[in-house]
Amino acid sequence: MVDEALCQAHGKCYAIASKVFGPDADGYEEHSGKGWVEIPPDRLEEARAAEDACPETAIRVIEDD
Amino acid sequence: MKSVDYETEFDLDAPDFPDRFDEISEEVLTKCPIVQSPALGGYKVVFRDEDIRTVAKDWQTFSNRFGYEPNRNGDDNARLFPLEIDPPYQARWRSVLGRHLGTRMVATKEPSIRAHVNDLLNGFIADGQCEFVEQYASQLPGRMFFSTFLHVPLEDLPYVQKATDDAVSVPIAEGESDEEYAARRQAGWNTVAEYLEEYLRKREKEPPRGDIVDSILEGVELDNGEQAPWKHKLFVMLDVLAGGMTTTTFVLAGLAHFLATHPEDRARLAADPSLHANAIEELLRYYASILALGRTAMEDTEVAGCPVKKGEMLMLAYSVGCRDPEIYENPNQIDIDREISSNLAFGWGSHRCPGNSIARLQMRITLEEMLRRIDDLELAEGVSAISHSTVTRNWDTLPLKFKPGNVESVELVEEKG
Repeated sequence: MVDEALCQAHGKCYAIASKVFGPDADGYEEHSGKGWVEIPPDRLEEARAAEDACPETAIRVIEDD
Repeated sequence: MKSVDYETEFDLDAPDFPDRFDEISEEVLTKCPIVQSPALGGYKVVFRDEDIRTVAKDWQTFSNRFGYEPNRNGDDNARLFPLEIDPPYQARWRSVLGRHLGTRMVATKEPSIRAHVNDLLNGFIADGQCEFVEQYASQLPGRMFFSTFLHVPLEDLPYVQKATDDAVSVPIAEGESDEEYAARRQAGWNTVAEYLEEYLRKREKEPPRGDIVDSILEGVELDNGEQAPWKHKLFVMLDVLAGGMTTTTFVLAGLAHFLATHPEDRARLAADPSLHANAIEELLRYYASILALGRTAMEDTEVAGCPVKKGEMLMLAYSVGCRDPEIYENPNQIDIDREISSNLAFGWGSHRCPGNSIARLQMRITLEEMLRRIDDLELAEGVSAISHSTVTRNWDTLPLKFKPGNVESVELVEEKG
């Protein structure tokens, strides 16, 4: 999930992981405020890299089994 | 004064900590990155930027569901949510708050906030002096919460504001015992909780307005798929209130204190508004209002090379981490040109302050209107006092003087949605 209260449209996540994250019309992450979103297992690594790179710590990646 | 052995005697509530904040922060940051405090039944404190971020981000190992400070022994009738729950349930409430507290939604509140800012300045601008905490910094956050976001009728404001002050920000009175003070705070909380509960009940029966109250009433699912119970909705309302009051009061007072004590920076900011956003980040760092917030270790682990046992509480000292010399050159100086790539003042990880955009906006508008309306600002005679209450740094009094200015006409609009 991308926390809408924290996303400030820095754009680091979709620069690092463009297959998982993307900008909306204003540059905010397009999934922000949409709750938990499923991502394919082979994208986990880049999603985690984006999670680490976010200067607002707005991204949460969890493994659900 | 006897010297304190920080590694064994550290206490977040030590009476000399507020006045010696710079010195003590420097000492612990350079000598002991983690300490064991004997106070409040015992807790550990983490100081360095890197260690705080590591712990704060790891919500699986360091849980919030056993409370945000030591000795919160599970009174399930007075919780703060989403502060005292963990993902994934916590994240569903964050989505609700984010919808209304995110940057874009908050930007639409600017006219309302500016009207309140100017109305409060009108209250003392002709006097040439003020007690800034009492007359401004403690008032604006309450107006935001109750008027701008909750749309509580303006005539109810003094009543709920008084109760809120008693609950979160009024310091101990002279001659008042610790027990009397604790009882007064609890009574304030009860009054606020009753008011908010009654307000939620009332709004539940009314047609929806699409505001944050409606979203909270709509609720979210628990992790087992059932609907969150009623009391969780009240806990969310209380958290939004508690999180945004004394914290914002502190940074607003910090802003005024800075303007009164840094005339050269003040002149630069008045001449060049493009410096404002960066200056505000630096002021949020320097006057970081969260002294520390707690996590509980869910397993035996290690932090900063120090063993931590399952069940131990770690207090993450965000305000001290904001002074880490590993990250900031001359950390105890305000440098409005300093580049802060990632501000620790709002916390870190899944519980990072969801109200950060409102805080930043209140700071920006306060800065703009004070620069526009108030000249020759200085500290006045009297005491500028800061106290600590385990979790928050509190700005209790800040007397200021300035060239008397003119009252302006302000229209406070009751918003609908």
